Amino acid sequence: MNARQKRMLLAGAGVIGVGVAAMLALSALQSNIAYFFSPSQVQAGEHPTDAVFRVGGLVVADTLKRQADGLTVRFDVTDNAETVPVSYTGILPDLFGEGQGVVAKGRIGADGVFHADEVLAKHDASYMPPEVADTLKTAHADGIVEDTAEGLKAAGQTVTR
Amino acid sequence: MKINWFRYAAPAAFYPVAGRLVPVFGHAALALMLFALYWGFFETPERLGGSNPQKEYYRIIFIHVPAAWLSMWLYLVLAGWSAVGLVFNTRLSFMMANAIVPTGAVFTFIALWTGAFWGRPSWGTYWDWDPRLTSELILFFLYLGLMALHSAIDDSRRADRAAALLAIVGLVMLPVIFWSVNCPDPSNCAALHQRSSLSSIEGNILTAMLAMTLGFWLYSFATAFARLRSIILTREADSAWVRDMLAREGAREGLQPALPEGAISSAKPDAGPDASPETQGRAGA
Amino acid sequence: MRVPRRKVARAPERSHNSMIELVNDFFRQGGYAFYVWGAFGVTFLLLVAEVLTLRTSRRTILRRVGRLARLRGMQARSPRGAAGGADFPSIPSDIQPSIHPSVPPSVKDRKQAVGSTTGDLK
Repeated sequence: MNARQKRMLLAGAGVIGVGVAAMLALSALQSNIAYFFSPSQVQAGEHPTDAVFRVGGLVVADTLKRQADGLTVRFDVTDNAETVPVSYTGILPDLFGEGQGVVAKGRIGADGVFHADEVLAKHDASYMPPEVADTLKTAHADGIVEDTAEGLKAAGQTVTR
Repeated sequence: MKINWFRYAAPAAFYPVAGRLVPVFGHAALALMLFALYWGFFETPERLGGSNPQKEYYRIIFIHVPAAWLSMWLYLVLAGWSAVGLVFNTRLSFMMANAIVPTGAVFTFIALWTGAFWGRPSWGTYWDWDPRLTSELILFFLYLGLMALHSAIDDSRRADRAAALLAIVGLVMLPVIFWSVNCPDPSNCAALHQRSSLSSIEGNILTAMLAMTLGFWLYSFATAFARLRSIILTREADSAWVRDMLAREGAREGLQPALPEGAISSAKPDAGPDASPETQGRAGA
Repeated sequence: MRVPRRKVARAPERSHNSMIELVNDFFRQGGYAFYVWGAFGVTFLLLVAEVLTLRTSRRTILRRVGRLARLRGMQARSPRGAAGGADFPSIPSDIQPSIHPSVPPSVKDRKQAVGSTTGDLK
């Protein structure tokens, strides 16, 4: 095989590689959607019992609580029909807040509590300056977020993803 | 004044036009980008409030959204030129599509990169397989595929056609993926990206974002035309007009000494370094 | 309910300190410097790299094509071309729209026979 054929083979392999990568991406997207459950579905028992899956919904107001160990937080997630309790050890993302959207990844425990390995915050697409009332709304969640972060640091943990 | 637009379908005719346009678009792009940067950093609120209380990192929006828009727009444009080339069999159309691809790929990468750096502080992750992110990644793969396919085929005409076909096929796939962000109920949805509308953006933020979009758009004109000129030169290397233009330009810019009539053996092709970097804007004719 | 601690800028004592503080605050971006400058920085680098790459490749192409053109020019002026420059018009003044079946494919950079001129002007 001469140099030109080798080059063509290489570039052709590049094309095929790109196609394979695209297919892998699509399949990852599908599994991301497939293994997502709403709180209603979780309560109905549709979720996989022994596998990692994702729960999403809104954080129920006044349910965000720091646990006794200072590092774990508990909160409830709802889709305005059913509610799932979630437990998470780690720093909550900046946009986490009560009444805000959230997606948690983890497993459901025997105690019926969803033990999350990862909590992602959702936000809507409005980009507005803060008003006075708004700063009060997120104050509660912010306080808990900052305390948890400090608690983790004191415990010698830096949670990175 | 009646302009025969088809006249500019010839690479030879468009080459000088593109040459004059590159610096115009380039400078305008730079001005707009600088304005957008200034406005975005100094005329917008430090932090946001309401249902989207982002902190200073929200300013990444001034790069992320324009880059994402351009990544889609440039793909549309290159697919359009590909279609024109296939229908009218004009080689310049294929060359133009080819010239756009790398810039489109750059903006797609910028969108992905800035999105990751924005996602980490706000959502809590650099990456997620949500529909919009995944589709942008696939778009990036499409751009790479176009470049790989075109370079895989030696014959420039066949390469043009193959890449054009891939571009058009990819175009069909794209709206399907991009508009799959159909999330009627946010509390029941796996996607991190939500539906958005321009009306819910504060005025100064919107200004900076749109200015940067315009800046990126003009920048893409400049790079596409500059790249097009190089493509034209490469493909038309044996044409008389290129020969004459280079003889004139070379003598004028002192790149190589103009050869006297009949001097064959005395000419050394590599005589002297290319002294002055020729500016891209110098008219080709 | 705990009151959140926010990062509040200290009131400047002397005007010349506040300038430095402003600059510092700008670079700090509320503590998110890594994310903001990581995003803006890479963008800037990529765009500059693209422009520089275009410049370099153009220079290379001009050098290569220029050399080629000069060689052809010399060959044309020696034994073959009796009419000097008349055989080789520069940019054609009128070009008809060419909607016709494609001419036989030309391999990239393949050297065509000297003397074929307007075949590629489409």
